[in-house]
Amino acid sequence: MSKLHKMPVVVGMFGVLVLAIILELSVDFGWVMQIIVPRPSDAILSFPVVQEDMDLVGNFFITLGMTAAATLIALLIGLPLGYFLYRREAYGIAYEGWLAALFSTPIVLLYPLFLVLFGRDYHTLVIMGCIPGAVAIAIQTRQGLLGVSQTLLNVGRSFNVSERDMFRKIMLPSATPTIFTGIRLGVMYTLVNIVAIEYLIDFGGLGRIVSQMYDRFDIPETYASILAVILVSSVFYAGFGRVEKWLRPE
Amino acid sequence: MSKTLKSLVIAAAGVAVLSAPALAADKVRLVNSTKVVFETEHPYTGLEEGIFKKHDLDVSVIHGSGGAASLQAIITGSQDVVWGNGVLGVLSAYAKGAPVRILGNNIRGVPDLYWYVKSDSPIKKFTDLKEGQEFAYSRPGSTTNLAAIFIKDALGLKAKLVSVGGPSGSRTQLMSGQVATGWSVYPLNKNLLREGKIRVIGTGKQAAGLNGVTIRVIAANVNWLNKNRAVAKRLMTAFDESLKMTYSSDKRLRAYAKRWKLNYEDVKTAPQDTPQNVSTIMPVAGLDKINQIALDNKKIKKLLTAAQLKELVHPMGNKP
Repeated sequence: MSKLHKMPVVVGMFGVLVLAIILELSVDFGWVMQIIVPRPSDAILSFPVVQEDMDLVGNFFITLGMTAAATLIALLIGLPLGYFLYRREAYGIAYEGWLAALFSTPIVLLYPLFLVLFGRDYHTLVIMGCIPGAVAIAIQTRQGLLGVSQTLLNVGRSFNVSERDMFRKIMLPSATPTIFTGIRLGVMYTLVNIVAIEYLIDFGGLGRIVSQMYDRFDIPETYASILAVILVSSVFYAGFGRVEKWLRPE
Repeated sequence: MSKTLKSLVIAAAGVAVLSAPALAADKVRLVNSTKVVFETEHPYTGLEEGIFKKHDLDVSVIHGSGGAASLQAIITGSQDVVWGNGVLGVLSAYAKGAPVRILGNNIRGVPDLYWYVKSDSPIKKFTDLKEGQEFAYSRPGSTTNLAAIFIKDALGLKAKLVSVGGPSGSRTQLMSGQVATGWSVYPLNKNLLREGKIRVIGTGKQAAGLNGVTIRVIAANVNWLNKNRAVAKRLMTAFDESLKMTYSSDKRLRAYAKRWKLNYEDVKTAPQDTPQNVSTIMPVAGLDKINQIALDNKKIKKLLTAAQLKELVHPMGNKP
């Protein structure tokens, strides 16, 4: 058991495998309608079909690229905004509630407005994707900096550390886990927004494929495309995990 | 004496309990594929004019969001019958083993679709569309997509087909100058026509290849149908009566306008915009053509056989 604890990836994969086997058997025994949910094996086997029909790999990179662009913009907005709201307490108190409200707003419903403003192209997807991401990052950045232990700050002051070093060597490492929670949340919301808009306006990458496959009742292909979306999510999750470890080694 | 009376009361109560299910109207769960469009109004006529009740039916109506989502409701068995679903979707679902059967026609051809431009546009008709100008449709594989392809081919247009989403998205993109044309379905956007902000350049009637071909259908879950064949037949008769009443009653047009908060002026021509002769519940026509269109649009992987097409249609709820 202790060995298993040291291999979280293996344990996680094992859990997914067990769930997949349960679903496979449920479909085989007719407990789940195949026209609604396919066998996991059918979904995996249909990857080549979707690739041939709609260039799954190309569209995977389109969604991945747009999510990366939107996340980068969200970081460029969210990190400085979060720092500003931390430094200027009055602004922080005044705007945190509004930001939290904006974060829980289904911005995806505003897509007709964004279509008018930016046209039916990739700009709309990236801009709509980055908004919830930036908000999550800003909120968590402020929270992370507010949560830095007073003791650590006092230790820094007792060593006459400069403001810059105080931020770089004490505050930032201490706030990193919370900031990265915001980044992970942000990237997930960014991806969800982008795929949802792709689905709604039938434009872009994987969301468009899911929409078209669903309309054709090609259920295994629909789920194969959804698995590709999950893969995009995993790439970002793992990527930011590595960046966090690099910034704050254990 | 009191013992006899007690026995009589118990016997009467027993008869009442036993006969209750027989007297209750048959429940039918209907999903109206979409809303506002004129053809979706007929089930409301059935409900509000007591036609379903007359046929001993207790019909509940919910709205779907069109396309596959509405059809899923009957495939899963959460609803029994879908009104006005696209025939391509039904054919596609059936080909993949979904328990769905067609009971009747909802509309043949696409006369209720229309394309428009801003009033100050130099485009007066479809043939004025120049090479590269945007000819709008909703989504790939949709009815508007089909109609646009058929119109483009019939008139030899060089315009570029562009997916713009639903009527509201289409209007927004046209009015903001992103596309040269917009599409809609009567009576949507008729207020803009009345106010002179937009101008019609052509209708779905010009998709000559689709005229007379069933485009939207009434369909049912086959498991429900097999268990409720008599109910399905009564339902289809009630639909037929409801449709005739909607077309012949000004009161029903006013009810339709009120339900969707439309201007009566915009809906009073609905029976002309969507003529009754294309909306009759029978026949289900042109399935061979739809079969080929479904294959061309990747809705199915191979053509359905004649036997499959026959099995798919249960006219008026009767066995094929």
